[in-house]
Amino acid sequence: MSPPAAESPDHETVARAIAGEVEAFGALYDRYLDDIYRFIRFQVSRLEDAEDLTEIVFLKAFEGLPEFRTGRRMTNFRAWIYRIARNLVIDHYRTRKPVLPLDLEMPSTDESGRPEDRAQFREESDRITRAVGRLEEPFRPVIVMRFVGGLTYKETADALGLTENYVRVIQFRALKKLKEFLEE
Amino acid sequence: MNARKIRELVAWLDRIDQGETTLESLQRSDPEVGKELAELLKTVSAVRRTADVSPSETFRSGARFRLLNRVAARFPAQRAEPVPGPQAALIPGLRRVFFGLAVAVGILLIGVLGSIPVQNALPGDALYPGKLGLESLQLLASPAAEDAILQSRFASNRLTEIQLLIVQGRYDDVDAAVRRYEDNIDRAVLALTEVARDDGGQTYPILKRIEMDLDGYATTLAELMAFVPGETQIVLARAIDASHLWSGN
Repeated sequence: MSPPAAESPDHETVARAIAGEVEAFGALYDRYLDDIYRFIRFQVSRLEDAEDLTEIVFLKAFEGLPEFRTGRRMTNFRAWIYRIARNLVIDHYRTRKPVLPLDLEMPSTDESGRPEDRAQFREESDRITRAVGRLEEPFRPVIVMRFVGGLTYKETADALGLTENYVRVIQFRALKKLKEFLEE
Repeated sequence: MNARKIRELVAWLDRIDQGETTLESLQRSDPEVGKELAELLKTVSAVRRTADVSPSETFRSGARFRLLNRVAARFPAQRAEPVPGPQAALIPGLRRVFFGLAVAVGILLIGVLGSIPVQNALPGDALYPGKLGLESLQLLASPAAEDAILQSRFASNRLTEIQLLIVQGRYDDVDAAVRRYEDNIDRAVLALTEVARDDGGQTYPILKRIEMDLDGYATTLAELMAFVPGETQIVLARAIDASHLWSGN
């Protein structure tokens, strides 16, 4: 098991949120909304589900703040909220089968460039997200946390309850699988 | 593939990903490993390119609104209570004593209760001036270069206050929150001017950040329009204008 994570840069904001300062929790929401939404959007097929789950993540985070404070191992808020998101995605899969392959039809936020380039980008994005969707646990969350969310090995390990070295190996194997899927 | 080989490839992947070495130099020193990693790095790049997806503004502001209402319901702020008794009957000397006592009790209350009731106070609440005072202290305690960002953050506080006032049906107090919202934006403009004068290189990233914030605030304010009576809509429109004046939309 990994050693305790370094103190989160959100420490002060989290402390204020735990004490009941509404605006502090608003700040945490603003800071992590995009990351959590992106993490979930990569793993569930329907936009509405992604939005619902994202909102639930923050509600659960709020409800669980006292637990976060007393938790001995998890001291990194980012890793902690990713863990909540990951558990919700797992629950979502359990209750809504079949869910794969994904058909995300994720729009690019970049509307610049020629239409044909955008169409090509979208096609490529769909192909990649479908391939990511075919990965199983814990390969998929590792790939999404590391390369979509930009989490460090330590944060990914904390969020998934794994060791850093194990995350490294899983990441490597996941990339190999992903490459195979993309070549099919 | 054996464990040793995997460990070796993982180590190379990390070093390249962290910019400690390049794929080209690896390919020169070990063509076989280099070829294998080139494929994996291509996959990493492809995934990263696809990561550019964000929630809609409607969802962003709607979820924020619902969430903060839930949080606020858990930690209600202290409301101002009407002061009983005819104050005019007090003789001036006695009033001074009472004023002194009230200040002392106020300080004591803030000390005893901590800053949370103050932080959650809304315009019209007894503790609201304390909240504004804390913000002034933050401005005094931070470098001048951060004033613009702080003022933008305070504008966000006003936005939350506006939301909560609407939820509580306190439409008469919305105007006070909007006035302060406009004031925070004006002050952010002035503070940014100072930054531009002292260090122009810092201005652009701060400006972009505040512009993005204010665009988000304007969207949230527009969403709130549907929940308020006509007179309050006019007040909210002022706040939206203030946000757009800044961002130029």
